[in-house]
Amino acid sequence: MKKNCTESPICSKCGNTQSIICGLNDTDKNEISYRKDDGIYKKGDIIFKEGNNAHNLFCVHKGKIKLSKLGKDGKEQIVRFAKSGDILGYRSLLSNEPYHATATAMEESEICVIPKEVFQKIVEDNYKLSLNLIQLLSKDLKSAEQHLIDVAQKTVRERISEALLLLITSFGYLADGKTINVHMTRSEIADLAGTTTETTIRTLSQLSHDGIISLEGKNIVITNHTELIRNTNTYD
Amino acid sequence: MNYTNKSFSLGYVNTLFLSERIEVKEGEFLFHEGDLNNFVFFIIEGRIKVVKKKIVIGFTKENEFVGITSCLCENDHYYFSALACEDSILLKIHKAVFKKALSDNPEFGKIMIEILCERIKLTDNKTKSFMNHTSTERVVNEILNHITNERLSCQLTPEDLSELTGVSKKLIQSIFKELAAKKLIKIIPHTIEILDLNQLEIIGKIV
Repeated sequence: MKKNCTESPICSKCGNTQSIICGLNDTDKNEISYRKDDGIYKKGDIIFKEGNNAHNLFCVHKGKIKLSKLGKDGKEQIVRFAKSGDILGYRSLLSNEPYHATATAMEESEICVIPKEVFQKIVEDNYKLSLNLIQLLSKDLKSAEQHLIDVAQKTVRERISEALLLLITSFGYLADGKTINVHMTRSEIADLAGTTTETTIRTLSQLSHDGIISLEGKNIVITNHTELIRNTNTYD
Repeated sequence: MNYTNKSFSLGYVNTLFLSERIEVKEGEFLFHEGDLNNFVFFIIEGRIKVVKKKIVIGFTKENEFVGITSCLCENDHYYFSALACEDSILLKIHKAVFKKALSDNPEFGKIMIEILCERIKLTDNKTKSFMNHTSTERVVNEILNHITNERLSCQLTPEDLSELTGVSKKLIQSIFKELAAKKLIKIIPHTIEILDLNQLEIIGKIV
């Protein structure tokens, strides 16, 4: 359940540096800070839903978010993740369409909620932001096209290996340098890889048996990163 | 899947940058995946197929750009291949010139944002279709998408269908046999003749 922060971070003192909002001048940042709302979302809370009208841009101050689409028979398909500094909902606001996916908190997360008209005005007035958005959209398109290829061509083992690599890219490792810094259920990994939970459990066991990963409770430890990459059958 | 309905006029593009006019023949590659991405292309006439690992990602047609994402993603290499579906005439624009035009022209940037948003949406829809449909449904859908109305036939080869659907050619041949045995299609050289359109639509789960 969302509740307002008692002390909401203002953009200039946020601490994040990766967001494209961080690159704005102080006037624009102050305008956003003045007009934004903030919320804490618990694990499992929905930030916005696929198909709903897009009224806001969301900037992740802290936490981990998954974006998913509803597939056949109501099955969830995870399309990407967001972490501190990432923005969500921008594509819907830029194209004047409903939200393209559902955003759900994977752990307690603090999100800054920026009204649509504030975001659109700043984009209109600030061409440098537009150029950054163009680059961001280009990366999104490249990811979407790669995902299409993966779904079309890769075996289940390759797709699950790819899913693990995506988790590493999105969230990194814990301090030990080998445990993926996120907890996901087998069902969520299945949703990400586009397969069933049963197949995911079986494939993770196989990867563990082959010495590529180690399954330690909810943690997934990468014991052979080189072999994991080889298992994705990607040579870019 | 055409990439997008948003396009530019040749007159507008000519005001943005100096470029070289080139011609490519049907089947000729503009560039291969892995080539250095020094250029962006604008299609004056013709149609270009964008392919990665033997899967067609999309088609670009007149008044559209090819190669922009490789350029904008700050990579040094094209991450897909582009080849001409028919004889085509294009403008060849150096990457640096394209980027400068983008920096100097907010209106151009605004349309580029719309184009990228639409391409992402179409790609996501295609992925969703791949995930939610069986191989047979995907093959049938592509056949139905490419029917010529007058003769209720389709000119796609098994290779074309493999590129469009991600289904192997061997499996496509099996699907053809199955559909022909049910008297839904008839395979004649270079053509798939539709015998029962209604039943094919049911199989393809047309929504």
